[in-house]
Amino acid sequence: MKIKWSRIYQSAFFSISRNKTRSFLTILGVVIGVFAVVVLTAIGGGIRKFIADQFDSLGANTIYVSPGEVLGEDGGFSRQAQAVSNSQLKESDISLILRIGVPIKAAIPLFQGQGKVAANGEQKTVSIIGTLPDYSSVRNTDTASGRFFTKTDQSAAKKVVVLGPKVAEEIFPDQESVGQKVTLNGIRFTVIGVVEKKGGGGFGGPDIDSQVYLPASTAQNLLELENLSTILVQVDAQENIPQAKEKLRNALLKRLDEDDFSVFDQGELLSTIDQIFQTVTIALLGIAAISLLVGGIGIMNVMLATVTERTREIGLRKAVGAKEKIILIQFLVEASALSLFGGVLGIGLGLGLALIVGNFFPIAVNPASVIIAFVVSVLTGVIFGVWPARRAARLPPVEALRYQ
Amino acid sequence: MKPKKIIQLNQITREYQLDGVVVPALKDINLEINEGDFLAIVGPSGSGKSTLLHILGLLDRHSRGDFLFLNKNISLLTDDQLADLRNRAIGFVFQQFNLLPRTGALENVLLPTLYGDNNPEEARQRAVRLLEDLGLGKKLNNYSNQLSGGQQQRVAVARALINRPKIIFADEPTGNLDTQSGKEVFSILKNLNLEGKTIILVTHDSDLARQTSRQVYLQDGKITKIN
Repeated sequence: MKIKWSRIYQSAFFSISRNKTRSFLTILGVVIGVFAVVVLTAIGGGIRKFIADQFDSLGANTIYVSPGEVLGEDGGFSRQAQAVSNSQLKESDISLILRIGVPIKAAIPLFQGQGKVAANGEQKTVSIIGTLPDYSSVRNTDTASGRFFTKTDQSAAKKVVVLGPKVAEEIFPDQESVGQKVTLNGIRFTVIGVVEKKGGGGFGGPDIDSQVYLPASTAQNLLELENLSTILVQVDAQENIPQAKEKLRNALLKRLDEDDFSVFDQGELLSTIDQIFQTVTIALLGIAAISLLVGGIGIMNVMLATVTERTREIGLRKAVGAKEKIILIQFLVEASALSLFGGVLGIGLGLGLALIVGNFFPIAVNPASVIIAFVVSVLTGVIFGVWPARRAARLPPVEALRYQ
Repeated sequence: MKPKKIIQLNQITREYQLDGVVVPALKDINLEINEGDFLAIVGPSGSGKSTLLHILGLLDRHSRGDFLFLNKNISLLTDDQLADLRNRAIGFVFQQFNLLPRTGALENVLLPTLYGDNNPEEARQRAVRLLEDLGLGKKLNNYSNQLSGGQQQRVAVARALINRPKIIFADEPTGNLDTQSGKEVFSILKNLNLEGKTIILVTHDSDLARQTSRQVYLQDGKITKIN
C-alpha cells in the first residue's frame, strides 16, 4: 500500500496546532538547545577569527625568540613572566642571528615591560616596547602623526616616546599629542609621534593600540632590564619559516641551553589558541547536548501523553485498517515535526541575536553548526519519538477502542 | 439458490489471562453467517457478545477453534493482513460513534480511505454522496461536536460504508441515542440490509433484536439459542 505522506504531514501539523501552548512549551528545550549552539558557536568563531586577524596584522613572516619555554610541551602557554625576568637573551644574540643570513632578513630586539603614562591629569597603564628604529618597517607600524624614533635617539638614549593611538586618545583627547610632555613611570618624556590605528585588543589578542614605543637604550634604562625580552626575526617568505626556525635554534644553542629560549611563529601561537577554542567548543556542545537531551525527554513525555489521550483514535484508525507501521510513522512524524519547529525557531532566534550582537562584537556564524543543529534537532524528535510511537503502534485495537 | 457462507466459526474459544488465571470469555462457539444476513447478537452485559463481535470483526483473535472469514483461515493471517481485510471488507459502527474530534464530517468519512488504495478524488465524491444520502449534505464540514448524536452516528455509518464493505458490524449503535434518532439509525441499517449488505448487530435490546432476520443469544460465553 502507498503511504499517503501528505495526509500524514497534515495530520501531524493539525495535531500540533491543536495544542499550541503545549506544543510550544514542549519544544522550548529544543529551541534553547539549538539557540545556544548557534549563538555560542557564532560568538566563539567570531572571537577566534578576531584573534587570528590580530596575529595576522603583526605580519606572517615573523619568528619570535623568547626566553624560557613559551609554549609548554602540552601546547599551552607556560610561565612566561618568570622566564622573561630571567632572560638569558643578550644583544649580542642579534648579531649571532643576523650572521645566519638567508632566509633571515632582520632581527630586532625588544625590551618589554608594563608602565604608567601620565599627563594632563590622565593616567593609563600601557605595555612598553623598547626597540630599534627598524621596528617600524618590520612591523608595518607607521606613524599617523609625528615620527618614529631614529638612530640618533637610540644612541643618545633620548627620553622620547611614540604613543599607541589609544594612549594618545585617552591622555590627550582634544589636542595634538606630538610635542607634549608625559611622564612614564615618573620620568618625563617628549611625545614625538603617534602610530596608526591597528584595531583590536581584548579577547586574548594583543592590544597593539595601547602600546608605547621607546628607543631600546632608553627602555633598558627605564625598565632596568639587562637582557632582551624578545627578539623579532623577519624571514624573507612565509614558506621559509620552518627552515629559519631550525637555523635559529641551532645558532642559539651554541651559546644557550635548550630551556633558556623558545623559537616560535604565529602559526604555533594560533594553533595553541585554536586548541583552547576547541576545548571551549566541546564544552559548549556538551551543554547544548544536555539541553537537547532535556528537550528530547520533554518531547517524549508529551508524545506519551498524546498517545494515551488519543488511545481511542488509534484504536479507531486500526479498526478501519491502519497498520502498525502507519501508526508508528504518524507519531514519529509528529514528534519530529515538533522538534523540527523547535530547531527552526532556535536557529531563527540564534541567527537574529547573532545579527544584533554582530553590531558591537565579533561574530562568525558557522553554516556547518547551523546545519548540524538543525539535523540534530530533527533527530532528537525521531529518537525520542520512537518509544511513544511504538507504544501507539502496538496498542491492540480492541483495548484501544475500549479505553475510556 | 443456496446463500453464500461468508463467516464460519467452529468450536471458537476466547480466553483471557487475568493475573495468571485463565478466564474464558467465549466457549465452543459454532456459528455460520451467510451473505445478506441481518444477525443480532443478543445477551446481557458480560455474556461475551462484544468479545464475539470483536473476533468476528477481526479486531481480536480467538484462542482456539477454526474461523473462516470470506474463505480465509484467520489463524493464518498476519496482523497487517487482518488490517487490510478490515479496511476492504468490514465497516464498523460503534456505540460511542468514535469520530475524530475537531475534524469535519467529510474528513471523518474519508478516514478509512487513507489506509487503502483509493483514488482520492473518487473517494471524496463517494463520501459526499453517502453523506447526502444520509441527510447530512449541508453538514460536510461540521465538526463532530457541532452535530447531534443521531447525526454523528449517521456520519459513522457513512464512514463504515465508504470502502464498500461486505459486512457492517454495529456495536450497540443506538445505545447512545434518543428513541427517535435510534429508530432512524436502525432503519438505515435495515435499508442497507435490504440493499444486500450483511449486518451484524450487537444489542442487549431484545425488541430491536426481534426486527432482524436472525438472532444469536449468548449467556456466559455460550450460545444458548440461534434462530
